Formats: sequence, structure tokens, C-alpha cells
Amino acid sequence: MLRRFTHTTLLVLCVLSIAACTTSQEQAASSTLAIVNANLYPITGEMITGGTMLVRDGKIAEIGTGVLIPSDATVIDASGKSVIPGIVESHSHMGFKQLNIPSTGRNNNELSEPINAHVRAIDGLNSNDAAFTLALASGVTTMNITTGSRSPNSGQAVVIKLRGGTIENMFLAEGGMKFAMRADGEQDNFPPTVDAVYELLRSELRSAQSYVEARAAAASSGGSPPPRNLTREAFGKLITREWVVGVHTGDAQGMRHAIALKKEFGLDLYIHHARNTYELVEELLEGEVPISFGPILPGVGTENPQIMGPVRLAEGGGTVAFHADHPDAHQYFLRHASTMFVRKGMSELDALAAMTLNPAKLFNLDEQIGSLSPGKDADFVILDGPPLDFESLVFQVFIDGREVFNRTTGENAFGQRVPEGW
Amino acid sequence: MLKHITNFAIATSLACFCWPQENPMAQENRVAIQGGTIFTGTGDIIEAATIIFEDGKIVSLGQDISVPNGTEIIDADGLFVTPGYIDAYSHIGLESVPAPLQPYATDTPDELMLFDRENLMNASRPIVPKLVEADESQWLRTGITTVYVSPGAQNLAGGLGVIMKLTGAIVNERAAVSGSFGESALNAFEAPTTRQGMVAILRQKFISAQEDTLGGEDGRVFGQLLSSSLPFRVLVNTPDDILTALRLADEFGLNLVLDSAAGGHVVAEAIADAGIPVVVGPAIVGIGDGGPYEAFAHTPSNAAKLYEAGVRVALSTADSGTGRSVAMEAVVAKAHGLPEMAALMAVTSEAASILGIADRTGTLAPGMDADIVIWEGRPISTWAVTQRVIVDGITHFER
Repeated sequence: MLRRFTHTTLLVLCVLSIAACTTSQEQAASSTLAIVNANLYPITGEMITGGTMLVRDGKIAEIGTGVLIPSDATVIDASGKSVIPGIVESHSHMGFKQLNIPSTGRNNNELSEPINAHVRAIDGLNSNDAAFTLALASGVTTMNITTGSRSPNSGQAVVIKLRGGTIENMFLAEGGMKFAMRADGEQDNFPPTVDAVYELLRSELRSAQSYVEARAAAASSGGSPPPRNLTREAFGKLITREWVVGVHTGDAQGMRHAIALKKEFGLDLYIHHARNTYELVEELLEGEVPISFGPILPGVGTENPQIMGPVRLAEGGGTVAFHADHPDAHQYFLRHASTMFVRKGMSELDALAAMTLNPAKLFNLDEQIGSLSPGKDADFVILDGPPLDFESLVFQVFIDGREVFNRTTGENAFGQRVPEGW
Repeated sequence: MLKHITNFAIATSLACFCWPQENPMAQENRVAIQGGTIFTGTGDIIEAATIIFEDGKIVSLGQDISVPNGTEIIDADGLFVTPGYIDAYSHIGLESVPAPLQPYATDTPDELMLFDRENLMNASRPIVPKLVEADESQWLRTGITTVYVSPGAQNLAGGLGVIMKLTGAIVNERAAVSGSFGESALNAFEAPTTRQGMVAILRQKFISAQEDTLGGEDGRVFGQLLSSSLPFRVLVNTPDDILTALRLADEFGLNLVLDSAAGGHVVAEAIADAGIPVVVGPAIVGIGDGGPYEAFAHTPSNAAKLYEAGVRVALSTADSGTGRSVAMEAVVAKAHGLPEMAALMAVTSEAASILGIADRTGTLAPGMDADIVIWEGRPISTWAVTQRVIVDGITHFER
């Protein structure tokens, strides 16, 4: 306590002196934000009642009780409110299947070939999709936008923060690739069965292995490398674990194929949807395969036995993320869906982590986002009640310490009107 | 318990969908639920109350009820008691219907009306056996006891909807004609290509029915719509489609019910002035490839705003197979401004009233069907969990 006090005092003195010497009082005030009297859900630890969170330069500086508030800080009194990390939506098609221009939803699925590793989500997104505003109003701050699931490999995903503006402005990280263990009967040139999809993906991964090895050998020997091939390059990033791959599959057969792919090629892999997790809990734990479970509401009802899959996987120490899969479900109800798992025995902490820290883990971004801890990006949501309660509403949303949504004023980072009634 | 339900439902389906007058499973003895807080569904709350039912009907309820000897006692101390919930628009048990509709989806305008399709004409026909397959207990467990089952939403007038208990018991097998003016109908057919084109077809039908030139089943059904003896329920998800429906109802004197009604809050005054009830569609909504994107116009405060404007409001899930609950919709509506009691009534008494079955279910009062849910946790709240679900006096689920 004494150490923290001293440390904070020093910091305050530093800030004050810098403020006095180099900047106007107003700018200094805007650089430190103090959320006080809040019920803070750090996710990396238990809930802190009536705590303070300090935000400085877009990062979380301090969190806890007994935190000294700098005199120049902008103070937000969050009495009776709760603060959670910004929700991380691990599977969305926002910007592809667009609310304002539905006909351009075709961007979701490139169907000319079964393998589309060279196709990048970032090149087809509409950053002005009206749904982004609704996502902010739902407390979502980060989103993995994936291409569709109609081809075995639909391309490269992108992780964005909902800061508004261009995709460049929102870009956070590459989202790796998307596989789909699914046979699309409508496409003549596509593998006709799920087993054939699996074999096609194995074949591509093997070719990428050779490609990576040949490029590496050429680089070390000074010989001429094989010509650049965007498909091989993309698959190669899976082989070298530079990229993660999310596999769309729901049934036990497809999920086993995904687990096998991870094992055979040492991939950094997780499973999208994972409906039949309840049948494969042990296999997923043994293979250390995380899941991104969803869409939940309206896809999975309160009494659906599929709910027990994530509950048991989380109990066993597995990584469970929840997703909405916009527009298959509305991300507004991710929080609501999480309560269904708590009813069935999941801890509140696990249910909250499934919307925040765990999806961040899928993209190896958990050192940067997904929890309220010092040094992390100041992406957080203020709700007017407990986070896992239908009756609590999202009040304010912050990204990098900047307010991006305010329920009272309706103002948001996308500059679009929040539809009446949200 | 589950096996019991299944056998029971199979027995029902084997009985050629005819609900026996005398319920063979009905318990002859009286049952009393004691000590619970009763939400009657009419707006009243009675604490530490007793409710007695016998032979599937409620006999008495109140605080000072004497319980005769030989009555089976269910202790509800610390628990809450409500009428069984009603999902006022669903496709429960009918999930296969939209697919069979597809082969009929031609460019012939008449295919938008399905009254001449004997097997699709009445939604009650394929329901009972389907209900067993669909495991009706997943809805029952959420506290729903009665549902309106609508044919799919891809037709201007898609057939007759049915009202049934989740045991398979039919309450009204010709409950209403269900249709749709929206994107889903528009997307399903090659022609007509416009909303106005679709509505023109319907208007011509009504006019032909007025002149008695339709004949056959079409003539009979449209005649009943014109005489208001059969309600016309239309799924509409834009303010303009809602106004179009109101215009048609006014023109032909229809007994109209608006279903889903996304964007209804924009034209709430017009709906209230017309005295048309609304079965508000799910706020918890999702759409697959190809829409209908209109569904995303649903806002969680729609029900509250319609209610404030004086519109009679029920809630619904439009569920077909996922087992989601209208109870959840009620909590969402409450969170967005619908008063607690109005939210409860929207899934009980008001829903029953809009469906025309208020004399049977939707409230807890003497003479009503003993459709009762016992809850742990206050009803219409996030953590309310069903402890026991009773339909027609028989416990069909006990946690």
C-alpha cells in the first residue's frame, strides 16, 4: 500500500510537472482518465467492488482500490455501474453482409475456387456498414472479421478495433485464415464431401510445407527461390504458426478433422461454431484446441444440450470463446447468451472471459486486449448494472482510452445515428 | 419424466390429432400449490397464496383458501407462480415447412396463396408427429405451455395457423390465416418483383371474394377473412409495410393482427388509432445468408414504445427449432422500458387475448386451464428458472 502510494505520488508529480512545463492544462486533463467507484471486472482476477481504474495515453495505468487519483484527471463517477473489458467478437461478417447495402453481401464468399488463401478480408470490407454502430452500442470493441464458410478455405481474416473511419484506421492485426469443413453441393468444382475437404486442406498444407522449406533453403544457400505464390505463402504462415487458423465446423466428424489437422501440422488452430463440443470435451482438452462457440442466441435455446459443451470444456481448463457470427446473430445478445451458460454451471468469470480475454487469446492478442490490467489497451465498457444481466444496458464504450459510444448522447465513433430504440 | 412426456405425445399423435374430450392422463385428485407468490397474469400479485386445481382446471386461488383433505400439496414457499407462457408467433414443430414450400415457389402469382394445398392448408396437420421429433420439452422447460404455430413466412397468405399446447393438444386448429408482406415473401418468388405487386394480388383476391367469384377453399377462407370470423395475421417488418397492412384491413374490414412488426415504434400512433394488436417479433434475432435484413430493424425497445402508444402487445420468438424462449424476450423488452407487469402480460393474458383464447389460458383464475409455471427467482428477470411446468393440470417438467 505504502509502495503503491509512493509510486502513484511520484507519477502524479511527474505528470503535474510535465503538464506545467510542456502542455496546457486542458490537454493534460484529457490524457488521464479516472473511472471511480466502479465494480471492475478485470477478468484476470476477481471483481473489484467500488474500485478505481486509471487510464493514461490510451492504456490502463492502474486498477484497484486505494488508487490515488491525479488531481488533473478527468473523473467518471461509475457508482452503481460495472466496467468490463471491451467485448472481443471472434467471428463476424460485418462489413461483408451489410445492413445498409444488403446486395453487396456477396463479398462474404469468394466461390470461384475451393481454395482462396490469397483472398484478404481487408480488401473487400465496407468500413461504413451501419451495423458497426450497433456493435459499439453492444459493447463490442474488437472484431475478427472472417470471410464466409462456403468454400473449404475462404481466405484471410482481419482483426479490427471499432474506432471508426477507414479500415486502415481500425486495423489491429491480421486474423489468420479460415477453413470450413463443409461440402458445398452447389459448386461443381468443390470437394463433394467433408472428407474430401479435409484431404484437400491436408494437400495444400503439405504443398505449403515444401514451399516454405524451398524458400528457406534458397535463402540460406543463395540459390533462386521458387516464385512467389500467394496461396502457398498464406498456407506457409500457418505452417510457421505466424498465423492462426479458425476452422468452421459443428459436427463431431468435422471437429475431429480439425483436431487432426492441428496435430499433423502443428498448427495454431481453433474451431469456429463447435456445436458438438459436448461430445468431444476430452479430445479438445487433449489436443489443446480452443473453441469459438456460436452463434448462441437465437441459434441455441436455453435448454439445448449443446450448452453443456462449453461449460464442461471451461471446467476442464480449455479455452472457450463465444461469438455472434453477425448477421446470423446479433452481437448485442452475446452478454445475454453468456448467462445461459452460467445457469448451467459455468462460473461468471469464465462466462465473461469467453467474451473478452479468451477470444483475444485466439488471435494471440491477450497481452494487448481482453482484460483490465495495467499496460493493456484501455478498451472497456461501462454498464449500468452487472454485466451478466439482461436488464443492464451498455452505457459508455471506450477504445484506446477514447469514448467511442455514449448511450445518453448517442454519439459514436462511426458518426452514424444509433438506430432509435437501441 | 422425459419418457413420460414422449409417450404421452405419441399417444396424442396416434389419436389422429384428435384431442380426447376426457384427458386419460388427467389426475382425478386435487392438487394445491401452496406458499408461492402468484402473478395471476391480470396484473395482480398475491403473496403467500394457494392455488388449487382439479381435473385440469383451476378451482380456486387466494390467500385464505382452505385445502380439502386428500389434496396433493406442492410446496412453493419462496417460489413464484405464473400462468404458463404463450409464444404468440412461432413455427414450433413445423420447421420443415419452409422447405416443402420451395417446390411451389414458381413465377405464378397464385402460388403465393396456398389454400389449395391440402397438406399445407392447416398447420395443425404435420405438427403433432413433428413435435415429438423436435423434443417439445426444450420449449416446455423454458415455461412456455401454449404456442401459435404459423406456416412459413414466404407467402402473402401462407395458410392457416394453429394454436396448441406444447403437449400436442390443439386449442384452435383454424386460428388465423398467416401471411407476410415483407422481404421474406418478396425473396421467395420470381414474380411479382415488388411489394406493391404482391399487395395488388392480395387486393384482387379480396375483391374476388367480395364478389363471390373465388370458389373452392380460397373462396371459403377469404370469405371468413372478410367476415372477420378468421383473423388475418400478417408478418410485416417495415413501417411502410405496417401501414399497407392497416390500409388493407381498413379497406376490407379485416380482423388484423400484425406479426413481428420491426419498426412498429415509428408508426405506433397509427397502429394504436387503428386498434390493431401487435405480436412483436423477437429482438433476439439472427439472419442467415440472403436476409431477410429487415429483421435487423428489430429494436429491443419496440414492444415498450408500442405499449406506451396504447397498442396491445404480445411477444414471440418466431422460433422453429432452436428452443429459445419467449421468457427471454420478455426480459429484454422489460430492460428496454416495458413495465414488468406489461411484459408478463405480453406472454400470458394479453397474448391469450390477442390469440382469442383468453377464456382458456393466460391467466390464473377459477375455471381456467391449469397451465401453471413455478419459478425460482422473480418472473421476467434474468435468473428466473422454471422449477415445474404444469399443462392442463399435469406436471410435464420438474427440474
